[in-house]
Amino acid sequence: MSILKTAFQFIRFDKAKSIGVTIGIVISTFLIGQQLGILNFLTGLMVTTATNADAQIWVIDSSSKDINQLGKLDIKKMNEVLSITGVKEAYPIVIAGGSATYKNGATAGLLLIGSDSPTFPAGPKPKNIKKGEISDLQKDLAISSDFFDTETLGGSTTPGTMLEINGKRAVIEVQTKGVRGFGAPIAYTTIERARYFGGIPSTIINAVLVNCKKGIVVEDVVSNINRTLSGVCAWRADDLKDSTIAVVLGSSGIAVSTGSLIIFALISGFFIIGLTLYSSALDRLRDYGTLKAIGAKNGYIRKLILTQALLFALVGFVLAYILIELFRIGVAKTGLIFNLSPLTLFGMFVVIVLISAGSSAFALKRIKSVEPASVFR
Amino acid sequence: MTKSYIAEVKSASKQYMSGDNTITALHPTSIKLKKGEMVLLLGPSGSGKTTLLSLLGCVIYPSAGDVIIKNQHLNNLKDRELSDLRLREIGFVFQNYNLIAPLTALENVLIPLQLMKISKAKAREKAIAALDSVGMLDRMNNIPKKLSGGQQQRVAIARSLVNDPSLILCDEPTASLDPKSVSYIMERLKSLVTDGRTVVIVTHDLRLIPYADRIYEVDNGHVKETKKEELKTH
Repeated sequence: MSILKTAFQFIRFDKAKSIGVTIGIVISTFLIGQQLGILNFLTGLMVTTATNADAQIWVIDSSSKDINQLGKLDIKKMNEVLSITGVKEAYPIVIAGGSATYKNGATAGLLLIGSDSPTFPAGPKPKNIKKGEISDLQKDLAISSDFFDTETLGGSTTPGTMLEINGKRAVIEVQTKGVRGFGAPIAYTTIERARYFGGIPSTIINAVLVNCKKGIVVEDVVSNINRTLSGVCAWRADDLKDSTIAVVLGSSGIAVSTGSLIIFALISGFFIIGLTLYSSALDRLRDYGTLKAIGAKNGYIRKLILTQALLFALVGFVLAYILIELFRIGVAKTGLIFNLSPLTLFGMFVVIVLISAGSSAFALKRIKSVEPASVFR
Repeated sequence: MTKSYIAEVKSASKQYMSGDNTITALHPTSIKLKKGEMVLLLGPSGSGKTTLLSLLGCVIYPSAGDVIIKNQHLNNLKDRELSDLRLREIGFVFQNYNLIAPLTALENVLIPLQLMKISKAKAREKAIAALDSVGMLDRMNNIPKKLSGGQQQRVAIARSLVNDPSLILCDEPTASLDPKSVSYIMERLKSLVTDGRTVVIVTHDLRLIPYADRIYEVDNGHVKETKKEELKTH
């Protein structure tokens, strides 16, 4: 008989408390997973502009560190960037704010992202288009709109929907799905139309998107641009995303709110699991005393308790993972789309194992103090 | 200690502290246990007989004197070594059976073998043989609460002998049993003595006297050997 089976028998015997421990782990894991999922969703929104663009490098004004707060650049910077060694292609983009008004009178803020047609390097990516074709954005007054922003944008985002942006007529020709902005819905269009709707002069752009020649190290091109050009800063796309997330999390209450919820989930889980395991150990003190009397060392008892804790962690994590998946599928229908990477899930599992093992310290301490002689009393 | 002695208590005493007071549970005591004998420790509750059994069972250290089990001096052994000594040389049978509640009869008997890291197949074979020897093979998959008191005690005996110990210590093994079970359990314990094991029984049940080879009376922490005949005339 293995210690695993013995541990399982102990768990199975004390059903009520075993269910209590498992529920503690499920609640703790689910809350952590849910918060991480929502954080993943929000951080995804923060960097939608970068995620949907086809660029290895972003060249932006030197004072910006947040992709949602880009300053202005002179269009001449585009040619300067193109002259840098290693640059294969460079595209200007314009990002403009707008106020959209719908037929039914609803109004909403809008973030217009304009880039060169027909390639639209700033996005949207074809895989995110639900209705229409990317080439439809070349049509007169055409913009895109996202399926999940339908409610915000007056009830319709399907192609053919008419609206006004800053008092100028526009038509939704492309419907995306899952391309949402942080704070305002995103509308992709051509660079000229973004200028038109946003009232931005033709000499002004907000960023230059760069792709490098084959075989060139991206970091080298970033260094070349930063060393050669003044007033701009080149970022690897991923670095700009990280910087954006850091800036937004640092300046908003999101990190504190999510972090504190996760910490409370960990603390409550720790005590629910710990105290239930402790209570269960108290019920089994005579058994542990008997084991000691017949020759079990403290190491064996420790292994038996920790194996129980690990079994609880495993079962609780699997159940919580199923709940998180159901939650993920459920909220995805409303546009709250998130993915927990295998690494995140593994990290969560490790945390839950540590909580379970750590909280079993209460029980271990109590059982360690049981004298084998106690069985004769 | 000569080779024929399994255990020896040499001027061992035991004191406990209760607040500022020192309570003597066992006054300096010397006894020797031979291979293949059944020894009864008789006495009323609180007389010190369980303390003496605990010393023999290596679950407590003496306050003074020494206890020697199979040539190993208790005072020279650390906790881990004591655990090993108990595991390999001593079998325990308790008043309340003390079977591990979540485990089946078979799993209870397997526990000492698991602790001794005996291979699964061999352990199972030995455990089944031990259960068979106490007539509990047909109930081996029952957990303790599904067994009667007598059946639980038989499983406890199987557990105590499965690791082939030289010394079996029994704490009031018949206290909670009906007369039929008492007879069965005592016959079984007696057969262990015939096999060469030493059995020590703490009891105040005078019905067990006929089974004993030697008897010690324990009273107020003092231990003295008594002849069976003397007890019968009491």
